[in-house]
Amino acid sequence: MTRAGVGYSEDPDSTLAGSEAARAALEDGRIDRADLVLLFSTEKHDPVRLRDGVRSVVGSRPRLLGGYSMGIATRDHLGYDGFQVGVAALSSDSVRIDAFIQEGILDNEYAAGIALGDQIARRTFEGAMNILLMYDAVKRSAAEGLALNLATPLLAGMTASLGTWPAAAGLGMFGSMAFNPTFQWFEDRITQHSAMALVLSGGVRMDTLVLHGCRPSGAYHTITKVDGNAVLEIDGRPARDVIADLLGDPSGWEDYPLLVTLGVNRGDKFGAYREEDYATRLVMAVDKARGALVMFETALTTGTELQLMRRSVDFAYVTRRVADARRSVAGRRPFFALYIDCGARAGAYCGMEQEDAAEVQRAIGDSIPLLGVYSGVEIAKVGGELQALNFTGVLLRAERVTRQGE
Amino acid sequence: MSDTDLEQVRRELDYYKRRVDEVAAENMRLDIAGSALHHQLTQKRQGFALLAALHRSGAVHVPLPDLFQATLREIGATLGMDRSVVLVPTAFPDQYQPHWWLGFRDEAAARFGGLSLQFPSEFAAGTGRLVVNKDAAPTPLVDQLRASFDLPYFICLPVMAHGTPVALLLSGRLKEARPLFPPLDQGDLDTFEAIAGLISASVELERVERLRSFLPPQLAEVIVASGKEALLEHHRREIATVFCDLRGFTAFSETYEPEVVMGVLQEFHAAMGELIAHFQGTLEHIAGDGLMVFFNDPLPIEEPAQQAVRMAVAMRERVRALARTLVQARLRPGLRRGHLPRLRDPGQDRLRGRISLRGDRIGRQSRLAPLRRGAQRSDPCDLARAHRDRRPRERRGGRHAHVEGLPPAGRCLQRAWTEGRRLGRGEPARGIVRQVDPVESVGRAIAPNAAD
Repeated sequence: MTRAGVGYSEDPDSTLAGSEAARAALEDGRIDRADLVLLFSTEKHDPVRLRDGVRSVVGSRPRLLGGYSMGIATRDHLGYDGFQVGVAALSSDSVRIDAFIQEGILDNEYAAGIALGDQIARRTFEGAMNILLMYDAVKRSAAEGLALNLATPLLAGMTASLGTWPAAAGLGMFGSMAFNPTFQWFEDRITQHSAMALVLSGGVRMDTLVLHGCRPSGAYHTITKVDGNAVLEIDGRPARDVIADLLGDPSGWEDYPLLVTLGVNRGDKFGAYREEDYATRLVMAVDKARGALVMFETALTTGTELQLMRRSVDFAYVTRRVADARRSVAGRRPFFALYIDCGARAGAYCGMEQEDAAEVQRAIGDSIPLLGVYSGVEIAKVGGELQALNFTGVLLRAERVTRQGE
Repeated sequence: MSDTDLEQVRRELDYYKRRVDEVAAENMRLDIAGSALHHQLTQKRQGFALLAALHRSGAVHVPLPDLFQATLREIGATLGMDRSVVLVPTAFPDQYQPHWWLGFRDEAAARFGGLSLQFPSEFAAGTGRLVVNKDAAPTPLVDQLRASFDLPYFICLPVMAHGTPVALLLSGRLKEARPLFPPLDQGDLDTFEAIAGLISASVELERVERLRSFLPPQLAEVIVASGKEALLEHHRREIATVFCDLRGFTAFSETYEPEVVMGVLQEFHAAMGELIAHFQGTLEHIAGDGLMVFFNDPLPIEEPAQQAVRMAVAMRERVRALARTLVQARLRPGLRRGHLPRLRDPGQDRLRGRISLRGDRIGRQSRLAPLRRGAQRSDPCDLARAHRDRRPRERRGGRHAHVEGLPPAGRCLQRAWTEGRRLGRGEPARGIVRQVDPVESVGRAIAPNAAD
């Protein structure tokens, strides 16, 4: 029997919040003894007290993984920027749970990826693996400026170790849109700058659904010089100048360039817009000294053509896609859903009254325990390749399967 | 296609590319501005919700510690502040120390125990303000606060009550980045001014309620409205005191069922309360049928002795009239079952609605609690203890230890005296002269002297 439940709390007292959310998760899943606990909270909580609050309810037995999230959604609650805590509890006699951690990603994401991938590759699993990757998205923050740990080299390193990826999804964790330093929980450890992999095998199968939210709105421009994740030149001019010519007053975007969104079309350059052909890239910072745009990822190379993208969460589209996906798994036995939602898609940050996570809540309904977390980076397969994504929603559904596959 | 045509197409293409980019950029600018506005609007909405919540808190007399802690929670949850601290005054002038906080890890908060910060006197005067953003000029105080709380951008202002700072409220962010995290400015300060104002109002309200527990309501309000704390300072003044009780009440209370006794007391208290208020007396003590009222303190009254006599005479007349109706209506023999009555919930007790003696609900409840439980004799010491135990925690402590050994009346007077004037020491009232039937006790007493 495999059971899952999700609990929520907004109690400002971290200990009480942890115990309340954990208790609610166990009750939701009618779980007496959990095997796995996923814990997410905003950065306003004390990581030690929150963990202790959860442990006071679930005991020392279950594996515990998680980290900071800007906000939390469940079937019944949705909130961000406050004291939100979300706990998912899993109990199963058929799902094998393995957890791996690699610390020190801020020094070298690629090397950390190789090491984490090696840990997984050395282990033998029961049947197909399903990987949930979670890593600390914030390298450095506060007043001195923002720098993020990059998912692209982390994934590249893991790919080097793993070869091919099984079913996988993931998130870059952060605790607020201010990108303050974050913490992660791994068992009873509290760490920073770590990458964690939760591997479920045995009687479980994981499906993912990718929900974009940007459309191209500008002409094509060509990157003519890059250095790592810094785009130095566009159309032969300093990249910062090109964007400044378009967007005008730097004070409106240079302090917080996360709102500047660029897109790369990997399909027909002049064809009709196809969502699946586009990769969205956010500008992380502006390097004023070099006149460069510092990107989240290193995916932009010389010769890449890009466009300004307009952020637009199409709520009808979200509803339709989730409903379609739900129909497509009719007859299967999903027991848990995890929605990884870019923090920038939250209504307060994308200028909308509606919340796309609320659309997911409605589409999922009451039948499956849902835990939604707001992320800095979303990881999912696009075009068969596991990629770091921005301004994206990734819906992950875990389903019970027999040893024979269904 | 001719070269001219090609050139024309090329120009058209450039034109449309520019236009597309211009429109795209315009859209992006609007989206960015929209996001920032929406974010700020959300915070403002939440700010109003916070103020409304605080307003409600004030209306139900939330204890100050709870109010501050609730405020910190709401600020953290709704105003996008990363860290907040409430600093309270120490025994030294202009010195404050962290007392409540939110947003700090335990290891950071562990340092607050020994932290004292010196502020300019403007903060004690209520005019001090700090709005520290990226452009703020560093000062020694700003640097010290930044270092103490590891908080680069913050607002700090005093929460005043009665012309003195109850606390300093300091709250801020770790990051300043337009457009979503714009520099803290006058608008943010205005929000915090409103928060501080509501807390101040709540403190004032709580103070009125506290004063009402042992002062006439009109006196409590005069003191609060005028801010004349001097009324409650140590002083020596000649007062006139009236003590009265009902002759034969003890025998009566031992004869009749508690419900009957309670009914009589309700009528008696209601009638006497009206008279005490009318003659501007200060109810010092009430125990069952016994009342002690004094005049000329803390509000000065001309000819206090005459006023006391007038009230005593009026009391006598009222009780005589009352006695006739009470006898007719209530004092009839009833069955005696020998068990205590189950009395109504205090909130429904008719006594609370009828009584017009001074004191807030807590005060009345405390004083009358032994009666509600069926006790027919009331020990002033027990009443004093009951009252003392209902007081806020910070008012408890060793202050009352020294009253042990004083006669009951002295203890009660001491209680009122220390609560109202924040004194540590007092003396029992002196000079209560005699007891006259049925309500006739006029005397002179020297008000307690707080000096050792």
